[in-house]
Amino acid sequence: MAPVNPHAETYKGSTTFSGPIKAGLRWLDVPNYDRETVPGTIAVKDLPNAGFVVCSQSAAVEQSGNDTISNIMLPPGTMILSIQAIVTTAYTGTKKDMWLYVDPGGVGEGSSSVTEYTEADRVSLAAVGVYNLGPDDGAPSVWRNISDPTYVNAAEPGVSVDVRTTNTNTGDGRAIVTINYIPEFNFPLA
Amino acid sequence: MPTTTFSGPVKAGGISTSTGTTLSENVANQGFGKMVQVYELEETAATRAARTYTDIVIPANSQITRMAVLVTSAFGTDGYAYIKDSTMSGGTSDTSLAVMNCSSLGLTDFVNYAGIVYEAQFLLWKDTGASDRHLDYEVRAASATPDTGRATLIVEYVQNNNLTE
Repeated sequence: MAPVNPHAETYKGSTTFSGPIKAGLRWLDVPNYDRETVPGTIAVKDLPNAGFVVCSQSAAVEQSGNDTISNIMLPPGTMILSIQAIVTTAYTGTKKDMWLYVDPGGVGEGSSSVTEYTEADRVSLAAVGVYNLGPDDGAPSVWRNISDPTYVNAAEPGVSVDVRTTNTNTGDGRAIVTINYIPEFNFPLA
Repeated sequence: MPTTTFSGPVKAGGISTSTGTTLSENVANQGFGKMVQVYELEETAATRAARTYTDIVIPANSQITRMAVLVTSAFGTDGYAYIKDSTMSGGTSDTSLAVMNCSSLGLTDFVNYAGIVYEAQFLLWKDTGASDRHLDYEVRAASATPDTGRATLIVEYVQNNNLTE
C-alpha cells in the first residue's frame, strides 16, 4: 500500500507549472548590450536579474545491488545542481556505496554516470547521515545537460530521462536520494 | 520554451498567515523558492589578464546560500577563480565573494567558499545589499597552459528576503 501523506488535505491546492519558473524584477535583456564584455555602460540596476527556481525530486532507494529505477524522472535539458543522499539505514557489506546513472538508451549499467562510476571514488555510506554526491570526474558534463548526446549515451533532445541506481553488492542500506536541478535549461556545452 | 516568470520572490506553503498557535493548522509555514543563476567561466589568456563579467545579476537584498563550480575542463595547476562584483577591487581574495578551486574535474563536494576570510564578505552572503550585484571573475593559476579550463559557476540565493541581524 502506498504511504499516505498526512498533510495531503493542507497542501491539496498545489500549484504546478510546466516551467521552468523564473523570478526577478527584470527579465528582458537590454537590446544591443553585451553585459559580459561591456560592463559599466548600463547601470546594474537596469540589467536583467531574473534567476531560475531550483526544482528537486526525491526517491527512496535500497542497497539491492541490482539495476533499479529510482522514480526520479528528469525533464529534458535539465542541468543538475547538486545531489544528496540521506542515509536512514547504514550501508553494509564489502562496498558501502551507491552509483546513480541515466539510461536514455536502455542499455543498462553501461550508460552515463551522474555520480562517481569508479568504485574506489564513491562515497562510503557506512553510517546514517547526509552525504553530498558529486559528479563522476570522468563525465562531469553530464550534469550540465542530461539531454546532450555528446556526453549522455543515446540521449535525445526533448525526451525525459530516468535516473537509475545500483550498488557494488547487496546490503541493508536505505537512503533518500534528492536531485536539485534546473528543468529544461538546455545549457549549451562547450 | 514555456518559461513562467514572476517578479518574485516566489514563496510556497499551505498556510500563508498565522492566526493561532496550532502547528499544521494555523501557523504560517511558507518558505522561499530557492533561486539559481549559472554561467560558464573560461580560462583563457584574455580571462587570465583581466576581470571578466558574467551575465549573472543578483537582485538586491538577496541571501546567497551556495556558490559552486562544476569543472568540466580543469584549469591549470592550482587554478582558482575569484568571484567578485563590479564594486570590488581586483587582485586578492580579500575582496572576493568566493574563491573557487577549478583545478580538478567534477569535485566530490564542489561547494567552495573557504577562501573568504573577512567579515564583510560573509555579511554580503547574508544580505547582498541595497543594489543589484553584477558578478565578474578573475582567473589565477600557477600554470598558465594549456589555458583550456572551463567551469560552470552556480550561484544559489534567496531573492530579496532582506535578512537583518
